[in-house]
Order: sequence, then C-alpha cells, then structure tokens
Amino acid sequence: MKKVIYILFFLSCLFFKVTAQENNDDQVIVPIKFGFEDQAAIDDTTSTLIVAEGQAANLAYNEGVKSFQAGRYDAAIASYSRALKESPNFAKAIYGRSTAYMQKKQYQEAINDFNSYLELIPKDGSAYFYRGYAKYYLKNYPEAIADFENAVQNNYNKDVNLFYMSGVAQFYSDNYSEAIEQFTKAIEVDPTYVFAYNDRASSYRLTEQYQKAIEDYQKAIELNPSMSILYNNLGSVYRLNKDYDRAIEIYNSGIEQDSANYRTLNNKGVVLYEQGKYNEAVESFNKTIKVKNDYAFAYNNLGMAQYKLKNYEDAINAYSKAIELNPEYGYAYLERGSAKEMLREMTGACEDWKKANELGVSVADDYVKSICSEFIK
Amino acid sequence: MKNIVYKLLLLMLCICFLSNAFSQVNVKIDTKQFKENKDVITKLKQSESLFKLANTGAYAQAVVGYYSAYEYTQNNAQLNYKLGICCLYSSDKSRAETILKQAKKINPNVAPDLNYFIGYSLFLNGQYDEAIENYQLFKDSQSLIPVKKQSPLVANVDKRIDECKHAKEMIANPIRVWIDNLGENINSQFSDYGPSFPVDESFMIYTSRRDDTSGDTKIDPNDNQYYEDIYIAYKNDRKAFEKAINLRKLNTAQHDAAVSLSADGQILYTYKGYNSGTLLESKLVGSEWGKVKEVKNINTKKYQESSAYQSNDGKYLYFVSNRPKDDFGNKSLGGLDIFVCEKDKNGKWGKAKNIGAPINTKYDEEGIFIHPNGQQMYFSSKREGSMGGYDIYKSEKDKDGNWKEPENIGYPINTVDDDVFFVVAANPRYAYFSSARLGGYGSHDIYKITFLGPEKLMAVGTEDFLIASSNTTIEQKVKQEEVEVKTVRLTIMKGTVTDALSQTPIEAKIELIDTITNEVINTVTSNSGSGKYLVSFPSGSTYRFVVSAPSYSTYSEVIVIPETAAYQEVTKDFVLTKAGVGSKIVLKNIEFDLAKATLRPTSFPELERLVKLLEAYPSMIIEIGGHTDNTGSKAINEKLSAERAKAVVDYLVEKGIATERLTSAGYADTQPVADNKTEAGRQQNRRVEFKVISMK
Repeated sequence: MKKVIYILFFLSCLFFKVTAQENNDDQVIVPIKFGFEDQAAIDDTTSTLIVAEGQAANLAYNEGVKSFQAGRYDAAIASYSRALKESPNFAKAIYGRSTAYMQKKQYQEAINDFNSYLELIPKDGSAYFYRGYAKYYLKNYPEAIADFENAVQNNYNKDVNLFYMSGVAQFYSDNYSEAIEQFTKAIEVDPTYVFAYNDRASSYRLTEQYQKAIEDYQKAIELNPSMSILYNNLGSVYRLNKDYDRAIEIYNSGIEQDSANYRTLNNKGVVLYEQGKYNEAVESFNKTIKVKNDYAFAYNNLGMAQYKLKNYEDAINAYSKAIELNPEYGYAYLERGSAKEMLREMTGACEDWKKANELGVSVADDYVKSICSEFIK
Repeated sequence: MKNIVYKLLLLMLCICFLSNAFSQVNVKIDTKQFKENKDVITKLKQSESLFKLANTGAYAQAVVGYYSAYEYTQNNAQLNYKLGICCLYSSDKSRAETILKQAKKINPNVAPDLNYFIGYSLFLNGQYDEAIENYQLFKDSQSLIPVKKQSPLVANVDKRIDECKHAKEMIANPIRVWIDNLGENINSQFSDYGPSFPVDESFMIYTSRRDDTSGDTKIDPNDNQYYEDIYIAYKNDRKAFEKAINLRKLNTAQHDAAVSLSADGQILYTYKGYNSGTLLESKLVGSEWGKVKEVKNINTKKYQESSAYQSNDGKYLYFVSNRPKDDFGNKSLGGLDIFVCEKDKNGKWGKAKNIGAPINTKYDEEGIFIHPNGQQMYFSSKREGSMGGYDIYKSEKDKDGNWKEPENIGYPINTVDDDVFFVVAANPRYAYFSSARLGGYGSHDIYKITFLGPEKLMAVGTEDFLIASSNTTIEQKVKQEEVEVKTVRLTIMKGTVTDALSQTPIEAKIELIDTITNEVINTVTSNSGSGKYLVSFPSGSTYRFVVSAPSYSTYSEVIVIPETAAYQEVTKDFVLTKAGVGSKIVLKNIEFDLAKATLRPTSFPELERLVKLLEAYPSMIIEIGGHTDNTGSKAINEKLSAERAKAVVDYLVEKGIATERLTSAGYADTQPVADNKTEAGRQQNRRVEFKVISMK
C-alpha cells in the first residue's frame, strides 16, 4: 500500500518549519500553516529589554523562545513555566507554552493555557483558532467549531486552515451543508486547495448532490492527477449515481495510479456486483483479496456475489472468513444466515441472524421474529 | 356444460378453461383419404360426434379417434385443426401447437379461428410473443368481416393477449418460494388436490381420484379417471403425514370432493354436483365424521354453490356462487362471485351478501380461503391481470376492515393453467396447493410452499477516503429500509376439556373474550369424544376464557398471551366440575377399615382427583361430610362419621391443600340419601361427600 503522506507546515516567527509526517493512527492531520506573529513582536523586544522589573520572568521567557525555535519543546515548556512562576499573568509566556504543548501534541495542556491566555487577552483571534485546533485534534468538534467562529469574529479570517478545519469539523458532526459553506470559504482563500475540493465533494456526495460532487472531485484531480484516492472517490459517486460504466472507467484510472489500492479494487467489484455481473465481481473481489488478504469487506462482498451465483457453500466460506477477520461484522453474519437459509440450514441461519441483530443489524431481528421461532429457542 | 361437477372439479385439473371458447366452426373432415381403413373411419366418426358436443370431456375423449386418423395421414388440414383443438383439452396439451401449425401449413383458411387456437397452444407452450402474433392475426382477420358474422372468440382475444403479456412478465419475476411435494403418503400417480387443514395442521383432508375410490363403476366415463373420493391423513409425532386413508363414511359411488375444514377441524365442507352444485357439511362427532348434510340457508337449486370457507371465529361463511343476485338485492358482478353469510343468534347462517368489488369482478372468482388471522383473503380469479385461467390472488383488510385491491401472488405458484384451492398455514410462511408440475408422483399432487419473502437484505462493504486530510476511510452507510410487518401474529391454543373428578371428556363451549373490548373473539366447542379443542386468536392481548357445559359450573380464566413469534402454539387443558356453591357430591370408592377411620389405599385414586379439582379451583372451599346408615349406636356413628370425614381432610392437607379451605363434619345417619330398609339403600347412605361452601 502506498502510504498517504500528510504534510504539516509549521510557520514560526523567525523561520518556516516544515514537518513531514507519516500518519499511522486515526488522528486527523491537517496541513496547517502556523503563524505566531504576536510572538515575534514580543521576542524582538524581550531580547533588548532585560530590565530590573520582572527581569527573571523575561529571562526565562527568552530562554523559552530560544528552545522553542531549536525544536526543544520540553525545555521551552520548562522555561515558560519558570517565567510564569515569577509572573503568573505573563500572557506571552502562557501563549508560548501553549504552542509548545501543541508541538508535543499535549492538546489538553495547550487548551488549559489558551483558556488562561484568553482570560487575559480576550480579543486575540489567533488564540481562539489554536485552541479550536487543539480541540479539533481531540475530536471535540462542537467546541472546535465554536472557537473557529470566535476566531473569525476577532478578525482571524484569512487563514485557509481555519475554514478547512471548520469544514471537516462540521462534516464529522454530520452538518454537511455547513461543511460545504466552510470548504467553499477555504477554496475562496486558496483556489488550489485539493483537499478542500475533495472534502466539499464528499459533503455533496453525502447529501446526494452527485453532480456537484462529481465536479469537485474532477477539479481536485485536475489540480493533483497523481492522487489516487480522488479517482476512488469520484468512481464511487458515479457508482452511487448508478452510472456504472463511468464508475468502472474512473476506478480503472485509480488502479492505474496505484495498482495496490485494494479499496478501489473492492469498489470496482461492488459496481460489477450492482450491474449483475456476478462472475466478474467474484474476479474483482478475488483480486482485492490477493492484494490484501485480510480485508474483511472484500470477503463479505465475495460472499454476496457467490450468493447471487447460487454458490451458497462458497458464499458461506467467504462470509465466515469476513467474520474471522472482523468478529463484529454484523452484516456478514446477516448474509451468512441468508446463505444458510438457501441451503435450508435453518438453525444455522437463525443463529447467524440472531448474532447479526446483537451486532446492531436491526433488520435481522425481523427475520428472527418472523421465521425462527420454530427453529431456535 | 353437461355436468356441473366438472365446472368445479375439472377446472382444477385444468381441462376446461377454454370453457367459453369452444370452436363454433363446423369443419368437415374429408374422409376419402381413409377409405381403405375402415377402422380409422369408425373411430373418426366417434370423434366427430364427440366434437359436436363441444365440451371439455368430449374433446378430451375425441383425441383418441382423431389421433388414429392422424397416424394414418398428417396431410389433412381439417383433421389437424380438430385434433389440435381436442389436444388443448387433453392431458398432453403441448402437442397441440405442432398439429395446429401443420393444419395452417396445409390450408391457412381451414377455419377462421385457427390462428386463435394456434395462439393459445403457443401460450401453453410458453411462446408468449408468437402467441400474441397469432392472436393478433385472428383479431385482424375478424375485423374485416361484419360484426354479426364474427367468431364469438373475438370477445376473448384481448384478454388472451393480456394473459400472454402478464405471463411473460410474471415468469420473468418469480417470487421466492420453495415448493416441496408432500410425498408418497399423500400423493399418488392419480390426481390429488384440494388440501384443507384445521389451524394446527394436525391432519389434512383432500380429494383424490385414485384406484381405491368408492365409485361403483370406479371410472368416470367422461374423462377416464377414477371418481373423486375424500381422504384424510394424520400427522404423527414427528410432524410428518401418515399414509392417507379413504374416508369411506363420507364417500359415495359418485364424485365426493372435500372443500374446506373449519379452523378447529370439527366441520368439513364438501361438494356434490346435484342441484347445479351444492355445498354440504359433516361434523366430527367423537372420532367419527357425521352424516353429510346440505349446508342450510346457503344452497339454491338453480345455481351453483361451490367453495366454502368458514372464518376462524366461526361467525362468517364465505362461499362461491353464480347466482345473479344476493339476498339484499345486489346484482352479482358476473360469472362466479364470492358471497358471505353471517351466523345469527341461533347459530344459523343469515342472508347471503355479495362481497362486491374489489374482490369480485365480471370474471369468475373461485376457491375462497380466509387466513386464520382474519386479515388476508386468498381466492382464485380469472380477472384482468391474471396470467392464464384462474390465478390465485391475495387481498388484505385495510384499517377500516375493508378488503383492499387484490394482488396476484405471482409465479411460480400461479401458472398459465388454472390455479385454485390455495391454503395458507397459521404460520404465514407456509401454504399448500396442488399442481401438476413436473417431478411429482403423477397428475396433480399436493405441495407445501415455503414463502421466503423478498430477498434478504445484503450490504456491500465499501469505503472511501471522504476526508482527504484523514487516512481514516469512511464506510458507505447501509440504508436499512424497515420492512413493514403487518401480519397479525397468531396464537393457537389447544388442549382438552375434562370432568374434574371422572376425567372423562366433555363437549364444552369455549368462549374467548377480549378483556379490553369485551368482544367475543371466537367460540369453539370441544369434541364430545376426546374433549379436544382447538382455537386460534391474535397474540399480544389478554383474554378471558369462559368454558361452559350443561350441568357443569362455568369456568373462567384470564390468560395473558404475549406477542412473541409470528406464530405460537400453546397447550391449555380445562377441567370442569359439576360442583357449584351448595352442591354436594358423593366421593366414590372411598373405603375405610372396618369400624375405623383408616383410609384404604383403594380410596386414593378418587381422593387424588379431588386434590386435582381443588388445585384447579383454588378459591373453592369445601366441607367434607361423613355419613352412616341407621344401624348401630348413634353415638358411635356420630364419632365414626366425624373421624372418617377428618381422615379425608387430613389426606387432602397432606397433599398440599390449605387447611383453611377444608372443614369436616360427621352427620351420622341424619342425612340419608336412600332408604335404610334395604342393604342397597344402606350402602348408599354410608358415604363421604363434599359440599361446596364457597367459590369465587
């Protein structure tokens, strides 16, 4: 699998810092340009302002800035903390420490510091944005959205990332029309922002505005033709719009970009299945499994295609494999039950439907209730 | 139609659904060709006279003679035309197409309706497009001649074309079912059809034309098949049918056909061909079917009455008739229609009412069946939209209790042939019907249908990177469209009603009352011979069961029936007692050691029954009384009778009956029930009896 590489841009007061990061967890990584302009102004003055009053605090603060710039965030945090011990309401030190926490991904500590900072400087739009950013990382989307809104109200309204992240936060909160609004603002700020096009397209897709989704995914491909997920997503909209031939065409382009993209291979199989080309679908799912032999979805889908071909034994084997890979796979239980029904193994069918219902597939409960009373207790 | 029996019975066998479509054309066969073969000419003449009769049986029989001529020569257009038509009524209809097409090849103008019959033969062979073409040719050629001179078949041809279209569509979209032959215990190489069941399916009654028929001559000359007889098959403990038995008591030398059973299996409706078609009934008395009698207030002399079905609650009788008007003066819609009668206060069937649209149409309706849940009606109809002959339709009651527009239940249950007599089990997943499909034991067989319903939900697993900045994919959500489950869930309750003390079966009336609406939902009577009863009702309610029988105390119990599965079976036995408050009942066979109050073991069975009675009636408070004759000392008698009564009470207490429900008294000889002058009388007076003090 070609790893999707996310790039995190980091801009500090005196230099640009570029971090390339490979994301291995589920964390949402947003390419972002930090701009600590306020900190830059303070830094300039503090370098010359070593005066008697608050001297110790300022010295510690300056050490903090130096450590931060050198990427020694633990040291920076220690220095800022010393400064704050001397002068607890030293707003710039609080701000500095919270940005260091952000670098350490200690988001809760960062949020605590931003809370104190915003009590002292309530009109700082950038602080709202960063606090929102931290909350976004903690997947606290409603509060993140509120902070992003406060940032805009306090004139922090030029940052493409603010709008993009607002859009994503709205998307994850299932507010697709608000998400579309935010992604549109991001695109207004940066008309070449591929991710914003992709994500706006996805929002259109989930509200079944397939034509608009298609246009946005196409625009994204135009901007970055080598990004294989875009083909996958575009193909899927064609699939949902039942334009199956076009879907296959686009998926094939995606597979050309990345022949190991098992998700696209699987999705192509799904189209063939929906077209009623069950033999070809079986072939496509088998190819998917060859690329990734622990992909439960492909086994489930293989089972469905075999079911349609009336190869119920093969279907049951495929479903069983899907269940082995993901014991929580409710639909695989549901479908295995239905394949067993066709073989008139009613006890087994009913047990599977019962399990599917336990795993949240509520339709299975109807089957259990209407069919199974004579087969299971 | 000469014999109306066939109208109902042979239509089953798919022989007569061209009943109004006999050829009206007198095409003379040129016999010159056969001059050299006198045998052929003789047979041909027989067939020619049969053909003139223009009915299904005659056509079927005419095949033999025509066929011998056909074997002699296949180049006679007139012969091929007539043989082809007769084949359409025979057991092998598939031959008709070739033979009729040969006629057309030799002489396309041999008869003006030739294309109609070719169309029909193609239809039966599943060639729907070509069938339509031929019907159209017939229609076009007829449109060129004056209306008065047109073939009467012109009136049918549009319907036939429609049937081709519907057949094609329905066959392309079959419903999901399993169709299983009921096996050799039920089916034979002969025709077996018309199954009916009590609601618990503990037995099946059906009609068969097999070789152990009760008919004198055995074979009906009209169609060379054995006469119809009624058969019964019981289910064994493994829920499989035992070998079917001829119900000799009901069968006569003529045709005897089973029509339906009441839900509790106590009334069998049958059909006989006299008086244009008459409905009869036989009641199960003990283990014997009673004498068959005409169903009162239903039959007419002039018109046909056929298929009948009594609603599950016993309140209504649905039946089929071709009478032109109902008892309320409503005109029938045409052909055979479905009518309904309501049972009056005296238990007699009231005025018949045509159930009207949307069930009845100008076409024939037949084979009525009401599901035990009372919410679905199944019947057969030749209406617009059918795929040929009779098709089975289903109608549901709407929330106001009116029957909705019926729906064709679809292929492969419906076929291009006649499909009649379809019964759905209490568990609506199953149904039974008869069919002449391939793979059976021969001719019509009875099959069990398992409805699989629409294809079960399946969900493809698919995911996309909907958010480009995240490597977390998002799964396509599955739309779970809730299937509306409208079926009324049924509970079947069965058991026995017996006398509490003697444990003998009682013929008792069991009334089922909805405790919320106070409405009597159903009334059944237990069998006088076995005490068995069978009743079904919707689950998910609370019912009061009122069990009554002459000279017995009425028993009442409230039972909560939870709504669980689609269908459930519950066993519940009722015991009745003659004991009411104040009544005295002598306990039989209670014996004591001589001059002592020690119970002998021979007394225990009767006392056990008393224990059961007291358990069945937990509110009953009794007094046990000891009685003696007038011999011996009064003081001793008083003491002994009191001690003996006490001994019985002690026994009951030991068996778990609460002390506060029991009192005892010694009455000595103060309450004689017989004359003390004779030994027999004295023996009657020496007794233990119980008196019911109170009972809620």
